[in-house]
Amino acid sequence: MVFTTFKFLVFLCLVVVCYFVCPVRHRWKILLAASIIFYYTAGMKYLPFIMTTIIASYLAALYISNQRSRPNTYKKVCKRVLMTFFLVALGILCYTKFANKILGAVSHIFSLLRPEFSGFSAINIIIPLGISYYTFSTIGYVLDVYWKRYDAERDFFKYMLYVMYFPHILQGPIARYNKLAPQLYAEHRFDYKRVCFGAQLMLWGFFQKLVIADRLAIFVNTVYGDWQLQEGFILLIATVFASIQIYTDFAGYINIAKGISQIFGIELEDNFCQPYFAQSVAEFWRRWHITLGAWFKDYLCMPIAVSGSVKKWSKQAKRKRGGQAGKNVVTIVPLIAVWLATGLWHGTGWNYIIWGIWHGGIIICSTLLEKKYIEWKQKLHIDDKTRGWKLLCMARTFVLTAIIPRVITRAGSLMAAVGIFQNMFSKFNVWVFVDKSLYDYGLDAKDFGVIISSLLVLLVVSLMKEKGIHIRETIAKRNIALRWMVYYLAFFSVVILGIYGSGYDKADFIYMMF
Amino acid sequence: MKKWWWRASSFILIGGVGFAILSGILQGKSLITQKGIDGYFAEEQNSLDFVFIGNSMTYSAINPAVLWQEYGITSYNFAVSEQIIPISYYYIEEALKTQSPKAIVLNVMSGGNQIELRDSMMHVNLDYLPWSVTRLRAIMDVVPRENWLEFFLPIIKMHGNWKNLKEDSIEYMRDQGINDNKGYIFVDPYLNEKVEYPNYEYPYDMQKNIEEYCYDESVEAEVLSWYQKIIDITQENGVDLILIGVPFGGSPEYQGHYNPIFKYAMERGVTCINYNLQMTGIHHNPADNAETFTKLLGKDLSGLYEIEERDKSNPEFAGWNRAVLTYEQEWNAAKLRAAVTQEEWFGLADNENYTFFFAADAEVLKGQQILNRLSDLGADDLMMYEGKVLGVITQDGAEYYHESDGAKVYAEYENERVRLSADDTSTTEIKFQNSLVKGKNCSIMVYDNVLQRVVDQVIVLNDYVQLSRENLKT
Repeated sequence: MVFTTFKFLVFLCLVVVCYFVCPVRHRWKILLAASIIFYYTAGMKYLPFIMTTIIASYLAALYISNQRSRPNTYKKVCKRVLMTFFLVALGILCYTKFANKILGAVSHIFSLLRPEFSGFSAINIIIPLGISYYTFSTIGYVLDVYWKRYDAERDFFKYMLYVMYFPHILQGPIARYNKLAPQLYAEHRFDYKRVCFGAQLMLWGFFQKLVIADRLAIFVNTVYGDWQLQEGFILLIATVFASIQIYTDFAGYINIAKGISQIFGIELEDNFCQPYFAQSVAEFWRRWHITLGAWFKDYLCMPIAVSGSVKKWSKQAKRKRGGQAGKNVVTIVPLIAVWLATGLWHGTGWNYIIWGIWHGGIIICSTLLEKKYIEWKQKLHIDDKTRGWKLLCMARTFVLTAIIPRVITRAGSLMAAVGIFQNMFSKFNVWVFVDKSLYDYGLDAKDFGVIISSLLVLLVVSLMKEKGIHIRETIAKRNIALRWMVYYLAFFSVVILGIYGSGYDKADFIYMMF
Repeated sequence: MKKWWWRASSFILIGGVGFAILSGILQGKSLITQKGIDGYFAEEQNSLDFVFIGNSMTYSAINPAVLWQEYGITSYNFAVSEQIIPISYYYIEEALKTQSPKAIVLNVMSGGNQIELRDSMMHVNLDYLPWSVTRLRAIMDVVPRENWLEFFLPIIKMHGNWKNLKEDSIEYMRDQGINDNKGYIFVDPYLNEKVEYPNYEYPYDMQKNIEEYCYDESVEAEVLSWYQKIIDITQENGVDLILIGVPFGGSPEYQGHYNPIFKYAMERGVTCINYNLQMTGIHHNPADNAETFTKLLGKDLSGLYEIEERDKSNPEFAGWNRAVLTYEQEWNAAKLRAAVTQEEWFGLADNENYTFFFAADAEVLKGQQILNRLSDLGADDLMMYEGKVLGVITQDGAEYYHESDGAKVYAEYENERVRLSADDTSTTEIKFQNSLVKGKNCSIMVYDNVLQRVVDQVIVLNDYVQLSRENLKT
């Protein structure tokens, strides 16, 4: 049941009605039932995986929490429990994501050693929906309990709701237990304004997904579908479109999820903060998929940075090469781990590993060269507060985060990515902008008109958000005629201009596959 | 009640109205189907002797105007393109809500053995039926489950039509009128140079034919179950059912496909008449063959049922008389389009229901022949003009628009011509004005006031003989 289907909208309406009809103290049970039904409709086959992770994390956290009264044995015993839980949760995640990849690599090695070896046949693996998201949520929860940030949840069903809560199960945002859980179980009363705001946010999400992302997808899929025949600006435009597509696709989903939650009185965390306005790669990652970045920072980067091994390496570096080298070790080692993990989280191919190294490499280099960079700017009398410089930095960041890495991941393989780059710079066919050849890739002039106008709307909205303007509040303060006109315009834009129904190829949310 | 409740209800209500209007604008347009269905529901309740159900073979072969003229039978051809038998069942159910005819006449060849239909034709068959439980059940019975929603809310499929919207798309929202031919669609007999009728030697003995070509296994059990439902529903409503085979030109072996249906129905007391055994036909019978067949059918129906004497001059039957006039005008228009000489064409153009638009170069008008021709149509005093002359000839006289009268007058002429052409549902793709620059000649466009469309456009030359259409094509 994808968010953009009519079936889901009917389901949501029923859930909303049941939620507000039900006595306040039992409302969380409605959400739990809805979440189970939502997940079940995706397929019964997925349930055993998620239930295993839920039960394992629930028991592990409960056990760890109970051990707090025994400080002498706490660390030793809990570490063992923690490892067992990691084995289960990450075992399922790695098995479903990497088993066939590893098998393929082993087959390749064997066939190099023995040419007559025909290779292992691939295992038919089910990848449970939202596995990366719920695995990370449960790991974060168990670690927080272990680090004594909060107590374990004793009510299994309440905990189950935290993991399975249907708006965020498929694509996040990756919610922290201490932030989400209290809201889930709180007694939310019907608030007309809040429900309206939730519905409006959903509508904006649908606009991003159906009008922008899925329309761009037609062009991107056509061009990348036979990239060997494409060259120059066609590939460049397709890559820019692919970056906007992935943003509006993911941000659209998040807005729908946040909108749904707002209707229930629950605030999900922000996952995007106008990422393409970022002026550096590091800033981009603080604005893009925020909850994943925060998760890696808290549960991977920080533990590595304070681990015994890194401390030891830091001391060694400090002794041999001075204080700065020691600090650099503490910075760089966790970053390498984080970016390798981020790459693997997105995909198992070499292109994703290169993608991770690319981002990690830039961030590490910019950290190491930060002082030199400031000196260089001072020498050239560059005022980094000017609008021109900011725009230049934004453009640079866009190329570094949205053009080059997008080709690497969108190409499908490393070799294809190299081929695309070659074709992209093989021809300066600037005439494609005027000779109508852009219309040969599934979109006509009217579609481009829709793209340009909807991107302008997106830009205006992003600028307003950047300036801290609360758009829905601003609209709500206007007179009823203007207000309703905006709402109807948004609604009918989605209904008429959206890419949905049997007249179009259905496009699932991109981040659902992670 | 709380303030927010009113606000939310109003918002949803206004949105709903907007949604309905948009759905209407974006919906696929099949005027033939829309007018045919609207025409049926415009009939006075319980005024029909017979209702014909089936596919395009049916609506092109049975002409209620002929039945009225020849036998005084009141009937309606409630058939839709590519209709399959499950949909026919629901059309019968819908038809019996407003009429209680002597019999429902169903063409067995409808969809043959098919119980599935391509999506676009399913929309043509179902989208124009009025919303009712019948339509809902039809959707749920014949449309694959995954597509139900697109039939309940056709905008889900049709919203992409926004790209093809034209100025007149909103015009379609207004009442499009009804099919004046009582559901019959006139197939121009002159459209193809020569209609080839198959010449099969059919046995005339129905029973023998069934025995000879009866392949029971060729008919799906599900198809028969729909026939059973049709038999049941007609019986429940106290209406007879007649199964017919419209002459379509299938090979004798093809009889084996639907003979089992006749056999099944005859065993249940249903009257079955296979007209393929009596005359030849083609898939969409041209008007001449359709008339022959309709007369044959009318003879059988008036033999089977007692048809009451009706005073045709009674205004109550104006609709059927109009159908007869429409049919006559269709024939005249077909002949007009087929005419190859000026003499023939101007003879047929002498019709009180025509309005003529002409464009001529004054140089050409100096030739007596064209002046005479236009004068025959009702245009006089053309000698006085210079340059290009545009004119409209109606029963009330002629009006001229000369270049020297200024652009405004010319624009009025153009507006009127475009308005009439826009209403035109024919497929003529001729640009009238282009002919003016093509040479020294006179172009004439004929608008039929009964059919309410342009029926022909020609170029006449100053030689009393030549008539051309070629130069008009763009």
